[in-house]
Amino acid sequence: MEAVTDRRLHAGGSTDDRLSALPDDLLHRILSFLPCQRTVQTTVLSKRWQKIEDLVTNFLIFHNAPVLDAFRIAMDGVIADDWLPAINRWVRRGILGCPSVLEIEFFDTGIPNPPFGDTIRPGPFELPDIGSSSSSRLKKLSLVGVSLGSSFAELLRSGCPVLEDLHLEDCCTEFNHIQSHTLKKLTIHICYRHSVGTLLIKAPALVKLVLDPDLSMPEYTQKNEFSLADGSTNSLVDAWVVFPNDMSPRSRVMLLGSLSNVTKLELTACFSAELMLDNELGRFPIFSNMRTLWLRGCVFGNRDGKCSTLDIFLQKTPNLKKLTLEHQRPCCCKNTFQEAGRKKRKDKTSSRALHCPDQKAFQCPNLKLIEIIYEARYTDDHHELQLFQVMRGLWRNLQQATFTVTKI
Amino acid sequence: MAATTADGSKVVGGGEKSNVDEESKMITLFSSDGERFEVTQEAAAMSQTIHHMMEDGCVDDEGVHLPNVGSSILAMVIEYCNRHVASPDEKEDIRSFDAGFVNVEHHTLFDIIRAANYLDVKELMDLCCQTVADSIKSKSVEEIRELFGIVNDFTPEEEAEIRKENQWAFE
Repeated sequence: MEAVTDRRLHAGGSTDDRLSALPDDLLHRILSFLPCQRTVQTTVLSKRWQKIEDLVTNFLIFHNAPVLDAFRIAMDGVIADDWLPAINRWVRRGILGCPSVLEIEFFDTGIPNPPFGDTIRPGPFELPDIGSSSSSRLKKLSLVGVSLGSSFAELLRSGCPVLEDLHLEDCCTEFNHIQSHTLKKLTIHICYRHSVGTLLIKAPALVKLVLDPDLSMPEYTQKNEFSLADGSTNSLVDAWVVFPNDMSPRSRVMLLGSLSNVTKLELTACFSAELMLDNELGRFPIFSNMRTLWLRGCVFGNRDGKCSTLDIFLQKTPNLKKLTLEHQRPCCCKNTFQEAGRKKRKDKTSSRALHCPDQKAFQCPNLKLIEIIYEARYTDDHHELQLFQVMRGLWRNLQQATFTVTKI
Repeated sequence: MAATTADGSKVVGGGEKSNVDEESKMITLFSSDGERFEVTQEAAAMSQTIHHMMEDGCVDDEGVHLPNVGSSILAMVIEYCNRHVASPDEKEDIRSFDAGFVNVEHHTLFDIIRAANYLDVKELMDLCCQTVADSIKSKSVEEIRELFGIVNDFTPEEEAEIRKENQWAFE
């Protein structure tokens, strides 16, 4: 880092280069305010700057590779091929730093989903192998837009002894199980699985679960089945789950069964569709710990004459304190089969009281707060009518409760 | 100069503090060339270096000697700190103050950076580094060399090699 000795002076003497005379750490700091492309361009200013930029790129302040507390790389947009070597370099260096928090996030890579079949959506970034020596301190791992091979499952199982928080979003995966003894929080958000079959989650310490496969491409025929191994949900308190339209009713009931201990459940699904087969109703679990329930989706549609999901839930949540019904744009109802059914139902606007096969009224003595949220532009007259019918049905049983209706 | 003598306490007393004693507690700073500056403890505490000294009880009645900071630069740093503790919530005013503050010659800016680094005044460091980065951001490599007087000690071959290695950045 000493002053360059073979410097060629400009004829006539230029101004003192007091910028380059600043100590390394200050130059380093200035460079950190530049976007990375500009930082790399400074390598060409002079030899001194090349050294500084190397410091920035390699994260080596002195001779020893430091142990990192956290490493995060986040990029937006399509990644050009010639950027990949640089990005790979940075990611590898970050991983080598044995971080406690590792976040590798590529958003909006813009690669369109294949419409049919089981072709993998090409993962824009293949995660380099994380050796178990690099993951020994890993507590939080967040991967967005990354392609994960089958060795990832093994890494989770045996290479991450202190992992507590795993976030997988928009990833392309090839494994069938997620296993970790220490995992407390798991988020799976719109991931594309190359392998067929059920994704088994085995995480006995799990406290919070977010499961959200892709709902926006109903034509995508990939099967999205999840299951939680026995014992994985003993500590589970908070679950946020989306039921994809193609999830089998049996899997849904089984998944709900695994969630039966939770205190708080947020469930997004098309509730007007056949969520539950009649012969599965008997297996619908009782959620004795549930205090908060949030149902999001086509909440106000229902199958005429049949028990609605809301009815069932209210029967099975005796200790419920707060209920939120959020009626969302009925994307599933875009499906022509259901459109036809909907048109048919529109004619039968007879009063839709809450009722169950055996007409038993539900008992939720602690249910004091009911919120109803709906988007005006996606709710037609038919839905609004059903909304009020649902409210009336609820009100009959819950006259002590507070209702809030929000139209957004 | 921005903060000298007993007047300092009046300027800084922004009326937000309930403890009157705290407001008027002054501390003396000495620049490298022996000039004396009186500042409120609150303003001085913006410098983590001085703050830690105060906490550790290393500040005696005489004051704090800052052998690394010259008087003109110290005056500017004090001006910055005074302004920022006076009315921290008036974002618009502070923004225009900051903009005016960094509108100085580059070598002054670098001296402030060194001083802010030594005194560990994070906000001032960030402000000045951002300013330098902004003047680099919009310029080509040649223009940067020109502006700061950086001498290019690469041979043309060496420079071409580096540009090629990191081609993606030079597009």
